Order: sequence, then C-alpha cells, then structure tokens
Amino acid sequence: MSTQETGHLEQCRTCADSLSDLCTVIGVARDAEPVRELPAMPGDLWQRISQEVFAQPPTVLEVAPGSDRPGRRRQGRTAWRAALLAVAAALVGIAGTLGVQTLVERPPTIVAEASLGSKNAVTRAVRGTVTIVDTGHGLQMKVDVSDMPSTTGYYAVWLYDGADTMIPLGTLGPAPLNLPASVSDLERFPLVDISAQQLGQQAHGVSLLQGALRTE
Amino acid sequence: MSDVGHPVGGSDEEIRKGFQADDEGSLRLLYDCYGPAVLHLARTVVGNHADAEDVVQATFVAAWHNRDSYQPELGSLLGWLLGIARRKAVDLIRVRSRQDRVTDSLRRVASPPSSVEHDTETVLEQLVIADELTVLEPQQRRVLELALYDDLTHSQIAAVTGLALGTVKSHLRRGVARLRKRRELDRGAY
Repeated sequence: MSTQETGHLEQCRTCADSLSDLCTVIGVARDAEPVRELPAMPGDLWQRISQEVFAQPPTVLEVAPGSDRPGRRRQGRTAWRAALLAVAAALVGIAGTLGVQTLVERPPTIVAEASLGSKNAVTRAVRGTVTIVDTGHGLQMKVDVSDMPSTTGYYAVWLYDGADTMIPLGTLGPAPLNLPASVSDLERFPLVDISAQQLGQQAHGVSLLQGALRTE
Repeated sequence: MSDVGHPVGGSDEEIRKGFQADDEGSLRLLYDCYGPAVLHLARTVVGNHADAEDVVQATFVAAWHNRDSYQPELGSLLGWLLGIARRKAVDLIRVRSRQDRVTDSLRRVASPPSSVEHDTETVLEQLVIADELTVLEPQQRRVLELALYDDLTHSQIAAVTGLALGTVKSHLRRGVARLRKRRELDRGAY
C-alpha cells in the first residue's frame, strides 16, 4: 500500500471501514475452508423428517364396539367355514382331501379398499385406487393409478402404520402385490403410500400418493 | 462428503418455487442442499451428535411449516434456514437444561457462555461464505481459492491459471466484494 493510500485511509473513515470489512470477509473465507466439505447426512435422518412432515395422522378404522379386529375376524370366519364344509362333505360321503379343498376354494374376496390422493405437486392430477383381496392363501394388493409422471427411478408401494413403520410391498405396476402374513392385520397398517424412489435407494423416498384403507 | 450448497443441481429459486406450489419434493431438495450445513451448525451449538440430529429434524420440519415466511430480499435460503436451526438448537439446550435441573445448566440458559455464542456466529458466517463460494462462476472461484487457500500472489495465480494479471485482480476484487455482500445480506437472516 502506497504512502498516499495509507494517508487517505487515515483521513477517510468510509474507506477505512470498508477495508476493515474486506479484511474480515477474507478472514472468514479463509477460516471457512474446513466447512466447504462436510460429512454426508446420517441415513435415517431424512426418513425421520419426512415422516414427521408428511405422515397423515393414523386413521382409526371403523370397527363396531366389542367386535373383533378385522384381520382376526376374517381369519376366524374362514377357518370356521372350512371346518363346516369338511364336516358336511364327510357326512355325505364325498369327502376326500381333494374334494374338501375344492369346496373351500372360492373366488378372491375384497377385504379392503382405498382411494389414493396426491401428496405432491408432481402428482397433483393423479388419482388411484387400491384393492386388497383375500385369495384364501393370503392377502394381495392391486393398485390402479393412471397418468403417473415418467421417472428415472421407480415407484414403490408401501403399507404404513401412520407413525414410524413402513412395509415395502413392491414396485407399482399391473401385477398384484403379496402382503406378508405378518402385516395382514390392516388395522395396524391402515395407510397405503406410493413413493418415488431413486435407483439403489433402500429407504422410503418421496411420498406422492397416499390413502386410508377402508375394510369391507 | 458433500459440498455445503447446491450439490445436486438444486437452486434456491427451484426450492422457493416448490415452496410456493406446496411441492413436498422441494423440502427434500432443501435438505440435500443444506442438510450438512445445518447439522454442522447444530453440532457447534448443542455439542453432541444425537441432539444435533434432533435439531436438524426440528429445523426442516419448521422450515416446511413456515415456508411462507421466507423472503429472498431479507437473506439467502441458507441464511434463513440457519437462523431457524440456531433458534431450535437454543430451544433444545433450554429443554435439556430443564430436564437436567442442574444449577450450572440453568445459569447457562440465563446467560449462554459468550464463547458458544461467538462460535455460533463464526460458524454461521463460515457456512454462508462457503455457500457463496459454491455459486461463484468457476473461473472466479478458482482464482479466489488459489489466493485464499494456497496463498498464491496475483502473479502466481496468473501463471497457474494462464489468465492475464488484470483478469486475476478483477476476479479477486469482484469475488471478495460478492462474499462481502452476501455476508451483509445474511446477517439480517440469522
């Protein structure tokens, strides 16, 4: 710095302050080097945030007071009917193992349905329906949506307890999805969620559609 | 490791538009861009990783619920977010202190140690300046980095980069001016 410049700074408060300010900024910038590269975020933190922000409050299914929970009631009724048919078949002399199984087989019955509503601007116009049927060998879910935007990843279907547990059922598509036997109690998992997933992303991605199950 | 800002091609403008459209994807973009900076600040204030993660969670939840309150003319998105994070971190210290019911903690709440406040202020400024460096034009950023972190002289920078000496000086002058402007702008945000 020249003598002339130094002299000016001694006289001019504005320029002196400005220089001091610039020196401070340069100091901050130098000290900022360690924070220019920061560690990646913990894996589950986004999950916690998105669940708190976007989760709907748990929906309580309408169950008559004193009645069984829907899942148990359905299992009980099926077992009771199978037993009755077996007894009836035996009584009329046509029972063989094959015969009883044939009698017990029945077309899949709808046990729950849901209408999907958009939770994201990209799917604002998209609607969908969910149907869960009891095949006699377990529950299957069918999801019908139209006009989903194209994606470089994929869409995943989840059962959700509305709090902190999400069960991945598979990829959104025309094929029915099998529900694990351990989540057949739909009262515990009353929500269906469709998320956008990036390739390789294991955790739940961004919720696009969600709906509450109505049990039949 | 991730850059402090804009690591995935997101921009403040995209996020702001997403906020206006209630697009939940914009919160994810905000998190991807600025989550590491928020976590770093939170750790500075609360001092441990578990509490810092709670602060990050509270910060992004509050950011989403209060997204209408963000005003670009009052500061950058990161400045606004770090302001929320600082308040959430102080709230958490207050809660912890009440839980502990330790006299020292109560005294700390009544009057936080000046060193903590000083550290917080310093880290806030560093994060904002680091963010501004990421949005500089690449050639200008390179010149600034050589001057700030490699301690090269103007002539040395000109030799390394192949730029004219006048261009190097101009990049430095304008670059530092931009950092200064950003620092002043965001001081109001946090």
